[in-house]
Amino acid sequence: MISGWIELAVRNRTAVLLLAILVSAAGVWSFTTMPIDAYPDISAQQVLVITQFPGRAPEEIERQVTIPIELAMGSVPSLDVIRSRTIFGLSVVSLVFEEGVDKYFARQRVQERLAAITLPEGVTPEMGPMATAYGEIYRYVLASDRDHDVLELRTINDWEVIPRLQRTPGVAEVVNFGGLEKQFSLTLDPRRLERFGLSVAEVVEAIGSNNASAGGSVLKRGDMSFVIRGRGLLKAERDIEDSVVNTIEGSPVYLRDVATVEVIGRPPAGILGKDDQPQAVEGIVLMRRGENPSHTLARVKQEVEALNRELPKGVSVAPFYDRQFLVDSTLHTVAHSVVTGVGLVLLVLLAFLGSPAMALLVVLTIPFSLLFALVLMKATGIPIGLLSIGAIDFGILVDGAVIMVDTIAHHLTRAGGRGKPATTILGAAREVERPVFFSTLMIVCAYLPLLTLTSIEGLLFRPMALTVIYALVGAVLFALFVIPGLATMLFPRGYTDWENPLLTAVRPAYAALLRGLLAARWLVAAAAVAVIVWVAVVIVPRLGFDFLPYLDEGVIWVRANFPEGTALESTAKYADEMRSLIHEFPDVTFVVSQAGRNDSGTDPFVPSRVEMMVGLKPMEDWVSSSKQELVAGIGSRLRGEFPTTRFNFTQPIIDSVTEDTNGTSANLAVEFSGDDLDALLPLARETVDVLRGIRGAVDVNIEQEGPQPQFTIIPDRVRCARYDVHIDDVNELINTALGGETIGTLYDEERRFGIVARFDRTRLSSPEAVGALPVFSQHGTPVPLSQVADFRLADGQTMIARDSGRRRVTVRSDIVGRDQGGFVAEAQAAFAGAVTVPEEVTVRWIGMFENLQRASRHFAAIMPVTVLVIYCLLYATFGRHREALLVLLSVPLAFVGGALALYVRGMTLNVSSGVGFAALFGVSIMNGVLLVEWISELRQRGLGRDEAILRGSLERMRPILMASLVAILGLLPASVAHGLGSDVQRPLATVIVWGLVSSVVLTLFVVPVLCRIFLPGRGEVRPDVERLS
Amino acid sequence: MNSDPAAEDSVTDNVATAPLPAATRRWRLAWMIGSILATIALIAMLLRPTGPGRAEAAAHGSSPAPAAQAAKPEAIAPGLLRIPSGSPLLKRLEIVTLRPETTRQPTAVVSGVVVARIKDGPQPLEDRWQFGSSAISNLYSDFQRGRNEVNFASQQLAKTRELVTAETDFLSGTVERLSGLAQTANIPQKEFLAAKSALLKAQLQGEKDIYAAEADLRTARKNLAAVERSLAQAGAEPEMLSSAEDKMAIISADVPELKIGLIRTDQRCEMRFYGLPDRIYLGHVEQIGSTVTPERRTLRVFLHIEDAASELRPGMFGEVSIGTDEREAIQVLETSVLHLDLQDFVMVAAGDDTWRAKPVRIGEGQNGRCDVLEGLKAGDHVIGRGAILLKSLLTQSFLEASGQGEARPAAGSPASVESAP
Repeated sequence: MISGWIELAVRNRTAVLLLAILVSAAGVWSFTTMPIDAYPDISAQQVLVITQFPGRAPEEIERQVTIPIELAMGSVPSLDVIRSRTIFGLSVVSLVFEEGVDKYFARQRVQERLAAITLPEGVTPEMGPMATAYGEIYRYVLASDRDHDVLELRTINDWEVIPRLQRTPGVAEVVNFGGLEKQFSLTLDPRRLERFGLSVAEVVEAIGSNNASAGGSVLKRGDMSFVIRGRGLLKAERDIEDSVVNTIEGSPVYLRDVATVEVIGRPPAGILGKDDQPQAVEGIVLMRRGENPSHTLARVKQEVEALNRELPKGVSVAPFYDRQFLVDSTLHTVAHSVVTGVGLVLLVLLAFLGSPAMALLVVLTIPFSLLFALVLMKATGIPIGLLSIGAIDFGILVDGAVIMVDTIAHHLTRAGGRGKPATTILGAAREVERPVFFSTLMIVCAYLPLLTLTSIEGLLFRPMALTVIYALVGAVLFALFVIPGLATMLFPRGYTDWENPLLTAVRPAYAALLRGLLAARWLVAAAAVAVIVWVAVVIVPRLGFDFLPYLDEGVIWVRANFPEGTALESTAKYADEMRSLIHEFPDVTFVVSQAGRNDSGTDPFVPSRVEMMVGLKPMEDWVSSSKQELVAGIGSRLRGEFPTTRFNFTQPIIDSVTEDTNGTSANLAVEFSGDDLDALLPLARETVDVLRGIRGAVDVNIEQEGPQPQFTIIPDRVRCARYDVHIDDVNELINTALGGETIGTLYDEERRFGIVARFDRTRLSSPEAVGALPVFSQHGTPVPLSQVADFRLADGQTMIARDSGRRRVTVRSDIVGRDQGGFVAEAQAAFAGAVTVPEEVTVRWIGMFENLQRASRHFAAIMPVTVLVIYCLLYATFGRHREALLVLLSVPLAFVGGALALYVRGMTLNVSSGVGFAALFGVSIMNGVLLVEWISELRQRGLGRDEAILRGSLERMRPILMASLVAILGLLPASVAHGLGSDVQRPLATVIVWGLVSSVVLTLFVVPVLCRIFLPGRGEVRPDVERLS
Repeated sequence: MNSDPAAEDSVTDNVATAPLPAATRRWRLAWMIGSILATIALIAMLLRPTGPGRAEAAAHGSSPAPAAQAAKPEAIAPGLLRIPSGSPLLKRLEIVTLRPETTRQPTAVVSGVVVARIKDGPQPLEDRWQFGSSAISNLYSDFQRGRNEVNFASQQLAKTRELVTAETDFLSGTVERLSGLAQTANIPQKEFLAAKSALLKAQLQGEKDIYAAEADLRTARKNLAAVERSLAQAGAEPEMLSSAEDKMAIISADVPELKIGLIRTDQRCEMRFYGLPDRIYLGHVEQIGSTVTPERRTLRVFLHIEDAASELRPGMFGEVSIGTDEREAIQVLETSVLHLDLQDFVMVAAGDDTWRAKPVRIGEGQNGRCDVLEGLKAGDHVIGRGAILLKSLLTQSFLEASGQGEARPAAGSPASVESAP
């Protein structure tokens, strides 16, 4: 059937060529419209439910908000896990859905459940933005010429910059961090209230009753009508000051008489610092999930340009982090690898063929197959990135073309100008259509099992597998249907092949060596087995197991946890010092610190926590020899200066993504879950001691913050009754006058600012001062708070973390200097011997390690399936078990090179190298197929076994060497690349490159020996075989 | 895998099948050699060391040397930490030596109002009072009237007594004289008896008059007392009004029930008025009220405030700081105080690079400092700013002592904790 199509293609070669050009054009168009990103979005499908409940302790919020929400969400379909974190004033419930769930479906289901929940009055849960940490594509600060303070900058950010950027297509949300939110404050003085006999409630009511507009139908006059409107909204400070509260004997008492009206900054939840600026205002642009990062970024930058022309003088949007640099760097790395790889492929082909035309025939396969793949990638929604285009071995793509071209050259040379070249070429194509098709099919089958990968590894490598499959399909189509037609155009008068003299000179030596090996076949076989066993038994156990190689994002993310209860301002002050310390490293360009959390509630962090983003120079300008060295240096410096502070060093995307997926960003975490935190904490502390004793453990600590001091006001009901004070009155004092709850809104054009009534903070410096504040009885009599309430200064929960309906405490550890698998095994053994876990407590080992276990199990299943599938294809090819098994022996031979290379280069077995092995097995089979198939063919033609082996090996030496070298050199640049984004390619490329090296060496020297051992027949050598050398 | 039966020849045959023209051969050779050399060069370029570290340290500077492995701070016993002298942490800790300080921090801050002042003028002092309300003014008038009535009634009583005494003395003498004459029959018996009768009448009348005068006096005093009570209730203690001096104002302040124990007479006080925010008026506690107001559960305290410039007016409202007498106190920075569970601690030097967490009881804070009521003494070296950085280590020290149980440092009085090992 294929043969018929080839003939059709050759006869209509012009049409086929035009079709190929059309497909290529479609590929180019696809390239211009496809999303390009460094790494695929590996974040889980997640919906956040964020509920702000100001002034409430975590225990209260957990009871009244978090647990009801978790219970309501329990029935949402396709939900994988529910986690939550509750801190002072904030509850964040994270709903992680199963893979493949549509994002709108997920949000719709959550919204339905939210509508039915009953929560305390005034508490409104909201869904977080439709974006993940992966979507943080752009960060900026509002730069100022120092004439604008952080309050003004924050106002500009809130009302001018953010609304504009949020309207940009592709942007899900823009989050503010830092600055002071503008509010209008009625700063109360208890004495002034007492002086006029007024209560806080009356002040609050005054705002409400003096801040409204009205509409009054229409006023008709003649033929005209006038819309009636009453404008009573507060618009300025003066309006607030002139609002009347009460009258005393006919004289009005204004708000300005009882309170100071002033513009203040709302007490911040977080403070941002950048470089030498202790306070700044930041915006973080979140891209909607599934959008094109490059296009979205381009639009954002356009808007920023326009904004910078329109913002007040001296203020500008100054970006400091832009995902484009990662995309560009990665594209640069990929492009470098691709161009160099293609160049090497071309050079190798030229070295073997000596004919640019022939080499070009082969090399044209590469762009065609790439463009073909792009068309299918666009159709199936796979973005261009490091792990799609960057993982393609062009040498593998051209294998089919190499076989086709080599055979065409051979046939044309043999024809010697006799007959029509087109007929000769068609004959050549028919000869190799089956081996080309089947060898490509085998490689495709080797990649197919990778499509079953799930979770993070699936999101990372399924696109890669699909892209390679698409490219292989394109390559085989080009090799079978385009190359023959092109060859008829390029060689209308025929072609004479001429072997590289170097190769010709090597042949006799190879023949002689091969004869010697055949003679000592048992020794050779034993040696081969010994090598394979040695690698399997000695080398592989020393390799170590990791989940993923380091995915360099180009920045460093530092997390520092100060002691619980540290005030936000103190944390920010220490952050200033840390930024200075980090700036001592010349490889650093910027440092931004975020103390506390943002106001939107998406990050439930406490005031004692700092997160810092450290920007780095281009790698070629570094002084440090590697990022690991730089991170170690910075870590050493910070830990030395702040020895009692807990630090973690990671990267922003992988940190957030793994936290969302696994519940922790650590390499390894031990999770204790139960109902009683008092039972969980001691276990966690014991575990910290155990893990700290394991080699490679770094930054071991309990993830959840410890208790922090709480100042609790407890109304005494008996005393309240005596003074005729209701609990509501006490609560009003706490919420409004202490907590600064918003009591009204002031509208300034389209801007809205909250109005708060609160006591002067400078007077609230001690519990006694708070106790002196007046709470008003039902008769309006002020009673000191201390007379109706007790005060308690005691520790309470800083954060309550929950997983699947139970409280959880996790002990985290990062792993440095050794493999994850070995570390975890040692840690688990030590834990089992040292820590006794009660029955009511559940223990789980989670983190990146969890992914490693899952991926290991998956690969343990995939590999045998891959081998089995290949075996079936081999059997289909040869029709005999013996030959099929012989070829299958290429697999362990290839494995040897890959494993040794990992060991020598100090790499571990991880998902990337695992994928490399899967690909390697498919590719290495080709060499064996080429050799064994031809040996079998020669035997069928009547040659003796030894003669067939020798002749077949000699005759197939060139195509095997050519196909292997192009495959090896095609990925060599990727295996030695060090640029940004090369970390995930390198293990994969290393395995394939060096696996192929061992495969080709062992195929040329060991497979013939194995053929001699396993293939039946009498061994003889005909004299004319001598002439081959 | 079947191949075309026509294609039987080996690849080596084609080398010699059709000889290649020499020129073509040369070109092919050139391509082959060139490509081999280019491949080698490209591979060499790929394998040369690249990436970070190539930049000359002199051109780009060098990374800071790794921090010298300074010994880390550690917990060596419950509440006892060692911070080695070379630790960089020390430069973030401010160490302060405690000294007794003179403070005038008030013991209570309440609101007060001017209830009365003495205005300038030539009239007697008692007539120059100005009050904050007409009610008090009327009461004061009643008070003055009542006082006058009491004086008058007293005088009347005295006079009545005098009169009665004089009358009865006179009549007694007459009776005595007539008694002798009657015995000697110099006068009729009837005259003697008449005189005796007159004496008895005069005595009886005298008692009645005295009783009436006393009753008037009692009534006047009761009325005065009632007016005094009303005056006191209205906020103008009569005794204070009586004892006031010129250039003085009387302030009435309401002290919450819970703070009654902190107030003493003659305590110094300071007052700031809303109408005169830049001035501080000095005074003292003159009198403490006798009852707690039922509505607000506050005790009325009366103060004398000096008003040299006669600026104050009745009704002026202000803030009174009571108890501003100078006193010695130990104060620490608020940043020194660490709170763990139920107890406050301050880190005190214990010698040999060690620091002990001493439980303390602290008072009110002001301007970033607070009184230490119990737990520290003058001469102690304590950590001021930066103490918060030691909190986690301190918590750990208590945890280790309690055998990984809940972090509960010994709560209770400083004395009891001091004795803990």
